[in-house]
Amino acid sequence: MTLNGWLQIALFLAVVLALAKPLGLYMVRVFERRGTWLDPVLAPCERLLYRATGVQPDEEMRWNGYAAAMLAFSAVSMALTYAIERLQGVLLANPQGLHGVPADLAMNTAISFTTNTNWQSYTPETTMSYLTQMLGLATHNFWSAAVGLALAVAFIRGIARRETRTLGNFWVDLTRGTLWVLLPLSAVFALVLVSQGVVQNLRPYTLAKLVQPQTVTTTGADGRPVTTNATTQTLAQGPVASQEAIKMLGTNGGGFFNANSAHPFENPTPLTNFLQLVSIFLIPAALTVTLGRMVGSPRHGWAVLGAMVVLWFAGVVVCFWAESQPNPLLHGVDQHVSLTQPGGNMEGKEVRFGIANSALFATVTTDASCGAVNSMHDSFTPLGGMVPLVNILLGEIVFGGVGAGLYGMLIFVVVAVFIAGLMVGRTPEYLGKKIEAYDVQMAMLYLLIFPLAILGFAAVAVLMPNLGLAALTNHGPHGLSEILYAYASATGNNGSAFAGLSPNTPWYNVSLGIAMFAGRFFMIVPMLALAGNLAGKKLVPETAGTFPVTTPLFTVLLTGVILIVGALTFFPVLSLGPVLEHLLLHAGHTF
Amino acid sequence: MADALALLTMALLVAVGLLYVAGCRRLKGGPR
Repeated sequence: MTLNGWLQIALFLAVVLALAKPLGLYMVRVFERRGTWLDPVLAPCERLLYRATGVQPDEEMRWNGYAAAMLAFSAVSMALTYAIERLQGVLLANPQGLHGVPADLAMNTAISFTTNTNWQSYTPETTMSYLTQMLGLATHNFWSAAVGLALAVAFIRGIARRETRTLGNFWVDLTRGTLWVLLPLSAVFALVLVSQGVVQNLRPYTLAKLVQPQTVTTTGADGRPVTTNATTQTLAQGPVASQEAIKMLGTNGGGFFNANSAHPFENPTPLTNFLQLVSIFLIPAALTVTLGRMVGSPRHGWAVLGAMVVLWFAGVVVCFWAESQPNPLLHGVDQHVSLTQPGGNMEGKEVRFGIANSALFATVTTDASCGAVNSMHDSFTPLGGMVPLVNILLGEIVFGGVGAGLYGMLIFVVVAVFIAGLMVGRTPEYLGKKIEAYDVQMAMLYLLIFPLAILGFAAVAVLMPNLGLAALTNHGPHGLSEILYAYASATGNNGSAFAGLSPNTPWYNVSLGIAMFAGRFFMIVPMLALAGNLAGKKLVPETAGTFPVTTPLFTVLLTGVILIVGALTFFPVLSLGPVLEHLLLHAGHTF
Repeated sequence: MADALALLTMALLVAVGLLYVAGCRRLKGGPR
């Protein structure tokens, strides 16, 4: 670990915290439909949209109406993306002449982008046309993030309101989140990315002549090695910057290219790398400020943010430390930090980013359900690779996805105050609302669906040699980690891959598709039901016996509950995967 | 055929989501 690395990590945190408050306060104004300085431009667009679609913006929805509208919107947009993928061969903006996407892959991808997962079982530059990338996928980067924002705001209203049955209007929240928050931020960020060298065009791929011809050996159709002399290289192009900005801001993570943010056309400079990191945490961090203001307890927002920062920092420390360690099986190789090399485990990492920025990116992208990568998580040390996995398994609540992270964290808040109530023998209260049986049932439903999908599908996959195990390129505990990571990433709506697994098969496309859907919508429904129930409650006056949710003690309790629930659920499988691999690595075995 | 299966799978998932809404609504003590 280097001082330079720690300084960059500290700068990252400082910038995120500095931006959280202004953006959080701005979002309060947006979702409370108060005036903002963008109104002269955006308010007419908003009115036009409502008039064209017949939306009554002042009509309030109950929780079930809100959930049904969200599901209907997601279903229609998912079907649209599926159709675009299947028909891309006969549609416009396809200079490479790519064929329609196979049905199982098209379904997987449509679910993936609708659920804000952006799991990619394909290589984008050889599979998706420019039209599919722009109209089918980038649109979902906006919509799925806006849906997450809307849901988080609905949950906040459930806490803030009393003795009412409604949570707001889904269509209004969706529209305002897109127009006032995501579009302006993405437009500015895309231009910054272009200024740094991220490409933005609709040109056919460029054929470049190699300065130094290469001899390449590949495996032929008959399984025998084929040696060719490569004199040219195809450079993929496309409308990258416009997709890259929302990919990070919306915590989507689906790369325009297969190498994602390790590709120089997606992430060309140290500055773009830093800004991409900040943009992942920007909205989730700001939403804690929005929470505090809208429920009338800014200190509660800070206490929730505190728990997120503690869990993020713990992950960074472990990952940075683990990746800074030399590989014990590389004998006779100098792996120490010096002026000429970064030291530690550099396999799968970009030399231009080094250990600190790779470990930080891996931690941030999995904390926040983003899934973009600037290094290959499969090549991390067993303990270093366990950090991204654990971050996802904690439920994507350490900052988390746009909106999804906050409402996920608030479910843990409900469980934390419930446990605090049990400890002191009082009816638990949360910001003046009594937490009763139905609330805890919904919170537990939310928490149980997550491990059920991950462990259930992973167990089925490892029991089926022809379907689950056949896609592995690594076996033993590392293979288990790869399968576990795939289902965790899908259910957690993260979308990053541990790699080493070839998931473009009917089994993985369908099972991962179902896991993504369950991890998004089957968790949203009980969350909205809980919000609807909270909105209807009376306010109970605070007494000396009320457990405060604004203190460092609450932050400690919340962090403890998250870690205990995560450990009780997933420690057994982690001990069979990365922990066992770590012990075997030091005994001289690798996989 | 493949398209029909894929669309049916997605429609089924959405239908389960809507049933789920109805189920949570009918649970005792919940919001009506």
